[in-house]
Amino acid sequence: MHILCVQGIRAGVGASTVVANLARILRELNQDVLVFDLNPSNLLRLHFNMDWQNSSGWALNICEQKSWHDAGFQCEQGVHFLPFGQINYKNHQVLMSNYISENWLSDTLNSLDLLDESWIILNVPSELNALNIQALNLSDIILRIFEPSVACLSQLINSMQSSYIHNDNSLSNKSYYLMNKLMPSSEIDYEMILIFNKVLSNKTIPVNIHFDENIKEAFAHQTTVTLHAPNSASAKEFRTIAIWLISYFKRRSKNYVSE
Amino acid sequence: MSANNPFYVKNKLSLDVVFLSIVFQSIIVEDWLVFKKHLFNDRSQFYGTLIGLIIFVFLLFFCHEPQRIKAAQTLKKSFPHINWARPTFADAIRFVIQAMWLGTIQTKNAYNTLFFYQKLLYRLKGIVSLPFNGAIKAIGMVLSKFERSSKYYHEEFEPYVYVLFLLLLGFICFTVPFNIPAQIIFVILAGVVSIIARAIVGHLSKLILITLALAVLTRYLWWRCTSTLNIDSHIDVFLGVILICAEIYTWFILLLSYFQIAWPLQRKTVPLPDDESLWPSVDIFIPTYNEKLDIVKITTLAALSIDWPEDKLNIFILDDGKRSSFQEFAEQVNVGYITRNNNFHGKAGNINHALMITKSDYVTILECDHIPVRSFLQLTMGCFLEDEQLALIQTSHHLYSPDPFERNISDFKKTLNEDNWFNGAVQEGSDLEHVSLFRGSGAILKRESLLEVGGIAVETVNEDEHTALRLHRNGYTSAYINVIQAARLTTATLAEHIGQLILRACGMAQIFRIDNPLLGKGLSIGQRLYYVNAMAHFLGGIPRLIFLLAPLGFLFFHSYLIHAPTVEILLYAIPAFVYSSIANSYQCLHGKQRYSFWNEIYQIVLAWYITLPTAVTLISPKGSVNVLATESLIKPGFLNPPFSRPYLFLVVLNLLAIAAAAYRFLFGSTDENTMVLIYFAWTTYNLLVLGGAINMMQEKKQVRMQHRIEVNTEVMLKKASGHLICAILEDYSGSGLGLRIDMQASTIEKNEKIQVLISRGEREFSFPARVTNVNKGFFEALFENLTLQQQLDYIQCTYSRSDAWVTWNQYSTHDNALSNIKTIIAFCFHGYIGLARSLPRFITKFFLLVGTSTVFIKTLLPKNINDNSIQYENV
Repeated sequence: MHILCVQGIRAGVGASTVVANLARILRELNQDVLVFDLNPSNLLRLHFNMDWQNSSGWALNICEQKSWHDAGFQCEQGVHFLPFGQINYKNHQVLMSNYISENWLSDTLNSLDLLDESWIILNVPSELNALNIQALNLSDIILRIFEPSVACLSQLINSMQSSYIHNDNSLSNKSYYLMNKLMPSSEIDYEMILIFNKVLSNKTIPVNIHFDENIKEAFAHQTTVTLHAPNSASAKEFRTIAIWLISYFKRRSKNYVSE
Repeated sequence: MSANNPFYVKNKLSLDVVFLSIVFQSIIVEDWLVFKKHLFNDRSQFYGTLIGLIIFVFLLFFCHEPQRIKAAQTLKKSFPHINWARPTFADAIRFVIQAMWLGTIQTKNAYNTLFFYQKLLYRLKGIVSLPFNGAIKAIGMVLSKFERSSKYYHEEFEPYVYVLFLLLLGFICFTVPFNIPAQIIFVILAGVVSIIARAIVGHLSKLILITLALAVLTRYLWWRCTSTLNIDSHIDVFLGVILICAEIYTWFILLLSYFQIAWPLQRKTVPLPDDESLWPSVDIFIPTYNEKLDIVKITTLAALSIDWPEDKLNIFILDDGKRSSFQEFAEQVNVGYITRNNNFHGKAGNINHALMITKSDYVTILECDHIPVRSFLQLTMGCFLEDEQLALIQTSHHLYSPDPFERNISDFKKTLNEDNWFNGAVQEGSDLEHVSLFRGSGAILKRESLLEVGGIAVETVNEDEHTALRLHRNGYTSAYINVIQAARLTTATLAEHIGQLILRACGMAQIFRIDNPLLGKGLSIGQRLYYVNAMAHFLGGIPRLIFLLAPLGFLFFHSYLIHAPTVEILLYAIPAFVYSSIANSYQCLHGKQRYSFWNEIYQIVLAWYITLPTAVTLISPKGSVNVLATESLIKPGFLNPPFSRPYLFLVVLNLLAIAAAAYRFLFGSTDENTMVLIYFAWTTYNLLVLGGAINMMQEKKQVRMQHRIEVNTEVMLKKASGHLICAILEDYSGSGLGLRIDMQASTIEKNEKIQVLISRGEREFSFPARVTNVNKGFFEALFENLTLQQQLDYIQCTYSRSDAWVTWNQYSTHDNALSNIKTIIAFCFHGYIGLARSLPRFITKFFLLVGTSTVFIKTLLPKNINDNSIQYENV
């Protein structure tokens, strides 16, 4: 299993969008993909054309004492996804304290009995809690999304100095950074790229996702940009990232074999 | 089947097998093949095929519908040039011819016999060259041991002994008379050796070919001088001697150029020291007189982008036009601006004046349209630091717009839709440029040495070469670096191009009269020969004109120019011609291939225009050089389209010669017939070359003001609506871009404002532009109000990228004489079509008739079926 964690450095940098697009493209490339939404904002479902009124999801099912398996969907293109479900604050507290045990996530994923080659993409919110830390520890690679803003830079530097990820070598080794919402023709954005590249040295993915009307429109159509405007620049950028990810795992498995 | 074949040639199958396999299973078809082989021997396979086809037609009545449809499709594929919907009478002829072709020539057996011989040839080559290669290695080993062990070894004698020995050997080789069988054996042996030589990798093969060509050519000349002059008739002797002189002159030029290219020095770049404080300071001069600011701007911005310590790089615009707009621009981008009170001595004077004012160690001269890439200095300056005596580095002159010759050919190319065969063809052919070391631009000079020889020379119109000559005389060396580090525009019109060449030629003639490189101190033999070669090249038009006229001597006046039996002429002249062109196409000038035949046409074009002024200048150097040269530039009717009178005259003479040949063949004495045929062939060749020359001279219009450079890079577009789309950057110029998008996915409208995102390294730059011209997926965008910084970024993203010209020659292919013949003939023929268009109407009509009937006859010819889909796979 290829477990990929996608996490925004801050909320609202577009991590869900990245997850949805990558999932669809990996599926286009004939990969088995399961998307697992761990974000209580429950936005990911909208990228997969799920009905606006439909509030179901794995977390809601657990709270309602139903099997979380029943919350699974499959979109037309063949991507399997588990929406979080619409739950209120109290239920969330109950969920976290009563149901999420220490190895809950790994047990859950193992119980699915997926093929070795299949991908699991975890949509992880930016704030840390017990579940998110499980996800980060479990993953093979962490994709951290940021935008070229001062707020992101500050958050990044803060997290580097103090937060969970950067105190843990195994976590920081497998985290890679991806820039989203780069505004063409914005001078400050291009300046920020230089600074980010310096701070992150070789941990950035060599593709930036530009700010593109197509992405916004795609979301409004409840789909991904790769379907909505397959020839747009951003669709191509997502494709490049997907190829990068595939080659990352190829490289990794090769290293395992050689060791 | 194909796996057993060492050449992987797909066997063509006879038609009946193809068709029968539609109806039957493969087993039955195989049985039919065996049956056919038993019944008919190899020669009468045709009847077998015929019977098979008759069986097929008979079977067709009992077939299923899909099989019939498939049969019809196969039929259509086998007869691609027949209009099945509305067949005409001619189609019936086509059908019969094509059926016979497919039944006989294009069958398995014919191909097998053909490839048997090829296979044999390859084997033979392998066997013969094996001991040869071994022997070379062994000799090399023995020699190296011998040299080391001998004590009394005087190195200084060595070359003289070698030369003496070689001269003796050569003299014997070239003068021994052969009778006809001996000459035949000689020619065959030379052919075998040259086939073997081509298989050897590396420098040796070129040297062997050159030696062979020299042997054959020199023997030919010796034979011409000693046994082909008709001493009985005064006129014959007179004309014959002229022809022989012309031949000796071409031989001499060939000898010189062989000498020059025999061992090209492929200079490697020298790395600079890591310590930047050791890097010398450099001034960059951009002289201009009346060029537009847009052109100078690109060069200046590119010069600013050169990677060099900022305090050691000074850029100066030397403006002889004294324009305030240039001064303003110079102040904006913070470069120097130099003018002077007078305009004495043009560009040379301009640079000399600037030399007095500036003070860096080295001076780079860039013509105002000569755009350097950012690594220009880093790749070149290392040589200076290594070699104290080095005073001049010339970088490869890369012309990014096709020169007039190339353009005239390439327009033709589009109509033929061939591959990139022409790429660099004529570029290389214009070797007159390559001859000189200092070409006035894209060069770096050491200030100290330059001042020592009195600055740029002003005495001749060819100041570059004269300066280089003076530097050499003072003991300095020069270097040529064959990495494209700068690129420039070519002249816009052919007239201008020829005008420039005339200037160079006259300048060279002046140098020979004022400061003869053959005399005086300071030059090595190689350098002297080199200048002689340059001069001889410019006069090379004279023998060419003589060759164009020579057959007339016999055909009109019945004068025996070559007084020898026909067989002997064929045995001597044809090998000489073939070898000189083989070795010509092998001439590796700076690693690129010279295209022999295009070069021939190019030289013919130049012959008339360059020879006369050069000869006049050689006689009176101080006289009317400038007038002559500039007059030819200014005079509007100089090369009046569609072609020029002297060549028209030559064509008419040669056409008359053809008529005379026909007359002599029919009504002359019969023992002269073979001789007439030889001269007829010669005249035909002349007409071919002249047609090519005329086609080349037909000026094609250049539409765009700024030439666009073709690339193929992925970029992004931000539309006014905020949508980002992918695009391919297909060409660029200083003012705009040509882009291609997928029209099905996105639209673009005229006058739309867009942002073009181009990345360079890890950085990305965006440039605002406006769409001007939309043509399906391709559109042009003009930049709008770029800031100075953006202009600089743009130049860095395009012109001055260090890999900007790296892939330029990737499509240039070897000159394969045989595969080009069709193209060349077509090219030359087009010259006559152009000619015919401007003739009186009734003649044009006649030509049109000939043309259309040729095209019609061509449709009757059988076609090769290369479509794999109709091949029968199971056999």
